[in-house]
Amino acid sequence: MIKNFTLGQYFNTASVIHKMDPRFKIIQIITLIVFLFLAPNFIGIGILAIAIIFILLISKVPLKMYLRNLKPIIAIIILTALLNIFYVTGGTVLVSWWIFTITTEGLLKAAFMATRIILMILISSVLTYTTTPTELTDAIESLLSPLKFIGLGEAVHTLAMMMTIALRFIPTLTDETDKIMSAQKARGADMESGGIFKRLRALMPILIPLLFSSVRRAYELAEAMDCRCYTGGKGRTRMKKLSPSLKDFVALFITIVICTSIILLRIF
Amino acid sequence: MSILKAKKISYTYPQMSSVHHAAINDISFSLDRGETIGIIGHTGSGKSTLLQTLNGLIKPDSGTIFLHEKDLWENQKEIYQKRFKVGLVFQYPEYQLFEETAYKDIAYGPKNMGFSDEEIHSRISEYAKLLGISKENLNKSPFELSGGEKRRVALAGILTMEPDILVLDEPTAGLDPIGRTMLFKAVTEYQKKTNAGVIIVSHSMEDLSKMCDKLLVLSGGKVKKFGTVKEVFLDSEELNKLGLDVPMITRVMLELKSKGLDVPIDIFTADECAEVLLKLIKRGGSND
Repeated sequence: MIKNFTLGQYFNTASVIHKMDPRFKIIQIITLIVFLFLAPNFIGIGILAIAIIFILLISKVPLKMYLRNLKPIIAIIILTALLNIFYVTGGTVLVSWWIFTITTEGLLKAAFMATRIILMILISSVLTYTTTPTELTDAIESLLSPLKFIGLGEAVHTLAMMMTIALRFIPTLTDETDKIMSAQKARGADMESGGIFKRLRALMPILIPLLFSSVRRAYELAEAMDCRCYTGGKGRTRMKKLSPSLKDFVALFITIVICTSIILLRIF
Repeated sequence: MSILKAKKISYTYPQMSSVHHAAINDISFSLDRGETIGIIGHTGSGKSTLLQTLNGLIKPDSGTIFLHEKDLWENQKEIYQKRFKVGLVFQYPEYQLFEETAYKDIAYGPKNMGFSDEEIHSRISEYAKLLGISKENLNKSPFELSGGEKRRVALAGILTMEPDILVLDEPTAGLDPIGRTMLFKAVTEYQKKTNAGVIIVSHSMEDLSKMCDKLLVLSGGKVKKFGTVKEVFLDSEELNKLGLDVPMITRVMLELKSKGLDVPIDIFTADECAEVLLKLIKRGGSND
């Protein structure tokens, strides 16, 4: 079962989005998500939708990949839409039956909410498809670096290092889990049958060795880092420095234009 | 009569798999009762994949595995029982220990097989003795034991299931010479007692020449050679081509022969070598 588990969503097409500075990417995507919720009406959502679809297209990641990310949240989208259909009143009554009434206003609101969620998922997928985990952690470290002015510089570095290590060890641990599972199966472990308690119990022969080996690995890694004189973030330099280029500022400019228009829509 | 036979088995890992191991292609061999086969090959030659097909952890894409002359996958539902017949000891088996005490850990396999507590107890006492695990260590947490002791506990976990075929994936990796000798002695004794077939994967040509009747050379997922130890090691050129080596002692003999000494080259262990050299020295002495 662990074999079907694919890791890391990075999908390299070497598009302009892939080459953007990850810090700019993160900030702009977060801004777009915030503005998705600030957009007052369909015009606002429409502007954002056009922008997001444009981003999806120039990322050159197959649309199928984006749609795949929508699959797990279809239920949530439908539930949100249904709640809106039945709870929102106002406008012309279309159908009225027992305690349920469907109004034009309700339908519009439902469509509005559903579009909002779909767009949010799509734009966040752009980040994971076009940014490697390493770029992400580097960007987060860099974005949080102002915290050093309040004496949290070391904490920021530690957090980034922890994220990097965690990401680095996911494949190792999946491999290890697979091995331990095979080994216990060879001793007659049965993980596929029985009730929930039996299954949970059957997981112990896998979880305990896995936990144990993670701790062992952590000690080994710490020692290896010590041997290479790792002393934390102070004085560390980078091999790959993040530096924004023209396209980042162009993108930023477009985002600012979009956001301003939405603010204007809200005011007028 | 063969107890385990592989007939043209092939397996490729699915593309999307996060686990990337070597595939195997068209592998055939057979193992008799009481026989020991050694598997040699580089990392990525498909050794581990082959071993996992033998006890049904992996179902080959094509080809058949015969266990006691019956198709291993004849009945999908019975595969669980069949795994007990082929005891597979993975590489670094000590990493799979999980119970509170070594005793309980060893009992995990036989318990899954449905044996009574008395039966399990008698088996554990027997195999703990065979592997030199002290009573005191049996009651300790497996995590308190030393590396070599853990390895023996893990092996005991398989032996107590009394498989007809014992499959060992690099059983001595990371052990000191005493640990190695002890482990091999235990395997030999187990084989003598149960007449089980044994398959060992190892990088040590010396160990293999000591333990095995036959050798199977794997490269790129295919069988390059399958024959007696003598047959395989005498073809040192072929082995060298695959980047593998003959035992060190055989290399010494080959070198001596090329220097013009009249020595046999089918010598694979230090003991045999000493005998031959002693004879040679004696003869040389009488010539003087």
